[in-house]
Amino acid sequence: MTDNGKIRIVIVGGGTAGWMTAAAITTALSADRVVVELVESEAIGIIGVGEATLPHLRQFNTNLGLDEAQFMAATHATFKLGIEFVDWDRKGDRYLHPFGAFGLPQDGVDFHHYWLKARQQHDVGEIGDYSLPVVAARRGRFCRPDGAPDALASSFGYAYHFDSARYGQLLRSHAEARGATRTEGRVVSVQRDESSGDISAVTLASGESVAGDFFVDCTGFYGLLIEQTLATGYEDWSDVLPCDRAVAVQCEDPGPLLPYTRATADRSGWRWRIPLQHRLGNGHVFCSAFMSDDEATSTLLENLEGTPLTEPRVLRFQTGKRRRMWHHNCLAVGLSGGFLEPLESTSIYLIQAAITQFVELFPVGEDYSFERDEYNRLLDNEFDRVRDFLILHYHATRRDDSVFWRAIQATPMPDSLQRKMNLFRAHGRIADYQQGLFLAPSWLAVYLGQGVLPDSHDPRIDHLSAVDVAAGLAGLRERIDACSASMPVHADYLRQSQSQAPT
Amino acid sequence: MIRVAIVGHGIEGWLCAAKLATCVNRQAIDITVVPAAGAADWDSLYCVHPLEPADTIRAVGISDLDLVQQCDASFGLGSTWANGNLLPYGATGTSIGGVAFHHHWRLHIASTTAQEFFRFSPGARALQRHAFAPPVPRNAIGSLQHEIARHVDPSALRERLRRTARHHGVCELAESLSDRQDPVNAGPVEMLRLTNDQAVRADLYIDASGPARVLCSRSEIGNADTTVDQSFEFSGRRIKSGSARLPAFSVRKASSQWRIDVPLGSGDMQLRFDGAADTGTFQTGYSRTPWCHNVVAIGHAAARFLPLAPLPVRLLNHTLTRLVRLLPGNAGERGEALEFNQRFAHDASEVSDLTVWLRDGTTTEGSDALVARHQLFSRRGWIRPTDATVITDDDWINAFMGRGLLPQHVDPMTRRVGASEARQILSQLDDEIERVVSEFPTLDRYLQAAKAAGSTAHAGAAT
Repeated sequence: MTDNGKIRIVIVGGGTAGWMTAAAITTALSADRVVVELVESEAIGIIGVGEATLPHLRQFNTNLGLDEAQFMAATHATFKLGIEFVDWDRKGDRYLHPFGAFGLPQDGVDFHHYWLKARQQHDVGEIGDYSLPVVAARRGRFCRPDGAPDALASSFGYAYHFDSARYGQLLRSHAEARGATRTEGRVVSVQRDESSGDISAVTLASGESVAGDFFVDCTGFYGLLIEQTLATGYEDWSDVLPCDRAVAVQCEDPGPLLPYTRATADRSGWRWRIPLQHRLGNGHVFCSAFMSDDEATSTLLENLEGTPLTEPRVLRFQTGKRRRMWHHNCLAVGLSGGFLEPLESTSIYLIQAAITQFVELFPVGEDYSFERDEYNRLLDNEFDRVRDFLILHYHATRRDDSVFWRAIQATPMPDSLQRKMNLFRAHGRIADYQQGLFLAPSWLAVYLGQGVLPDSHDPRIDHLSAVDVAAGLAGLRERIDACSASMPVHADYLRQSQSQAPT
Repeated sequence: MIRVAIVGHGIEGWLCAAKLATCVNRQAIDITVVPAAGAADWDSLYCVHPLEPADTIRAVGISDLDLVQQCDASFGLGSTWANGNLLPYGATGTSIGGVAFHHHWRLHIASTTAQEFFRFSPGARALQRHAFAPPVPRNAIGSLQHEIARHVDPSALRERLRRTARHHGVCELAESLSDRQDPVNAGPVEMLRLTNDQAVRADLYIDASGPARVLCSRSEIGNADTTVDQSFEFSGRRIKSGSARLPAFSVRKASSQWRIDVPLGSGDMQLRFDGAADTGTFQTGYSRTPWCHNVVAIGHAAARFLPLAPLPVRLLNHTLTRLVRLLPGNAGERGEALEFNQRFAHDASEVSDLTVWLRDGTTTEGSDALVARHQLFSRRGWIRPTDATVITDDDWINAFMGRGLLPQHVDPMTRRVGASEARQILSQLDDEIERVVSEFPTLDRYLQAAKAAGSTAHAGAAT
């Protein structure tokens, strides 16, 4: 503690995770109570996870008090309605995982059961035709949800694509304005309390010692505090998520500006495409056992839509998570806590979840073992459920056109996922849970998008005539069609939003 | 079409039958209720029915007016305990600045008495005045709406449910289940044998026979992992009302014996968990595999808890809702059973934990989850999120605060709302609750009006 009884929190490592942590703590916790110091070195590169986000980030920004228009201008952000998956089930297939539900339940039966019934005898289109964000995204349209909570025009959420380095800068200003201090320097050693084993201080190359009551490890995969010092251990998930490399490059965007992320399955992994205001972010996630760095880079460059703006950069990773995200007096946030490939834009969400839970369970006394156990339980749950959802993408596929796809099909999937898939395959039921990131509509999008069709539908609608059901679906489809057609083009809406930004 | 045989003709059996019959089209399901000896003996445990989203009674088309008219119903806003404490239903206060109310109350109200907390519960305030009004939009205070339960005569409710189910095509057998069932070696049940030796075959068998669990125990399924923690001799009977009618049931404890008095429209239901048994032994605990092969245990065949709060009926309602959602197209589908059992385990363990807390006011005999939940609330007012759906955050907050457990610290975000602003919001909420609740009639007047309205409606229909 400082002389005046405040808790001193030392964040080691800047970047997105570090500055998100600093901004959240300085906003949520009174300056009378905490002192935040962030140690980073300009000499150490920043990986800058994820430029694509999930709708939850809006709440994070709101809690910080960030104005949306200012945030978007500062980070060159665009709007996002979901993620398009190309070539995942079979080459040539595509579907969109939207931030919103498909249709509405009727008489207690989820919408997709009616769709499943009707399609047995009629051409009722894809399930995506019954989702406003899917149809709007396909048309390149966007506007913010509006109207009554149960209105069609408010039946979706949205997120952003943004420049994460710029987001870090924005949050740095925010945190420093609220009292966070930044110390430039490279950590060369870590001191621990002999009796408790807690971290007591870090020493910089300059010889300066930075002491703290609590430490947040934002040092990336290296895990300087959580692993190199505390030897917490890592749960390796590469047996079920074997991709272990990514190559990233930026390029010009020839347009039009799409309101969604794209993930295209490839021979030994997949490629991402993220549209920002001023460029495209591109990357290729791959498995080094089946593809070299050079091959992966060539594949990425061959598929760029515009002139490259940067040199391709290769990153290595190991999917998995830290055995304890909070160990002793150290919290692992970002890549130091774990890594799941950014197939569903979860990187920044997992940082957000780590910080939000920490603020809510911030120690209130010297013994915080219950808080720590609870925190680890919640974060383990988050990671485990995201992991299952990502694995689903690799197993719900008919691709066998490369060694990679054949190998991944041969790997066993977790029992928890197997159970979910069995349940869906029988009658289209989706395993129900309250806690976790991806809920029923997300699972449905991937199941149906990747060709997992149930053997049957809910028996409660057996008695309905397929003709009547199909007629009902047609009405909804027309309404969604009309609603999406009335939405502005994404680029126009963005321009209009930017013009309203406070100066 | 799926054939369902429900074993047990008590409230549980008929609730299940009515729910299935009203939620599933008649062409898609064939339901038979098979009487089981003793199944209705436990119906008095179902005399308090909270009005909740999963409520089965309303879902099958039985209105509160029907209950007043036909089931001698009264209404409740919570429970009263021997030490004078109240335990209201529903939320207390509303969140301020995105932070749960109890943090603001703890920070800004200089009180060490948890019961003062319930000043911000419209239900508790009405309860203290013996007043009652249904939860309708006009008496909501922003997002704060009180919650209620219906107190019903169990025999009358059973009959009303039976008529509803029969009206929707449910078949009721006169012969009951025979003691002589064909042996089953831990596999699916193939048929049931009745006392007249008739066989009943179904795709799905539902054990609603109460604590006897006749189907589960006979087929040696569903009981392998049952947890048991306490044993009581139980009796439930109607008695004359001893005092003015309160919109609450009362809970009393003497030594290790519990007595629960539930005021009805006329008279009370008295439930005793002690040594004066005339019904049978009641062992608390729950099954971890209530759905096994083609048998699903519901109600007291699946879980038994002291009804210190109306949690067993809520668990039953949620179980039935889930059963409808997972109703198999053909018998014993493994995916559905696994999902059902997993969700049931989440819910039952939460109900168990909350009951233990209400029973003991300590966590000495609680699960690890209850210990963690208790610690996190007492230290910082944190409500542990889980996948369970039966118990809400408000239930836990009321139970902890009502038992005098005040958090030592509050959510740090609480201080984002200035002290004077927060006190002003609390004061306004206090005034608004007073304004709304002061317009509630007494429970007696409300019931009289409801009965009169029912008579008028009935007379109108007759003419």
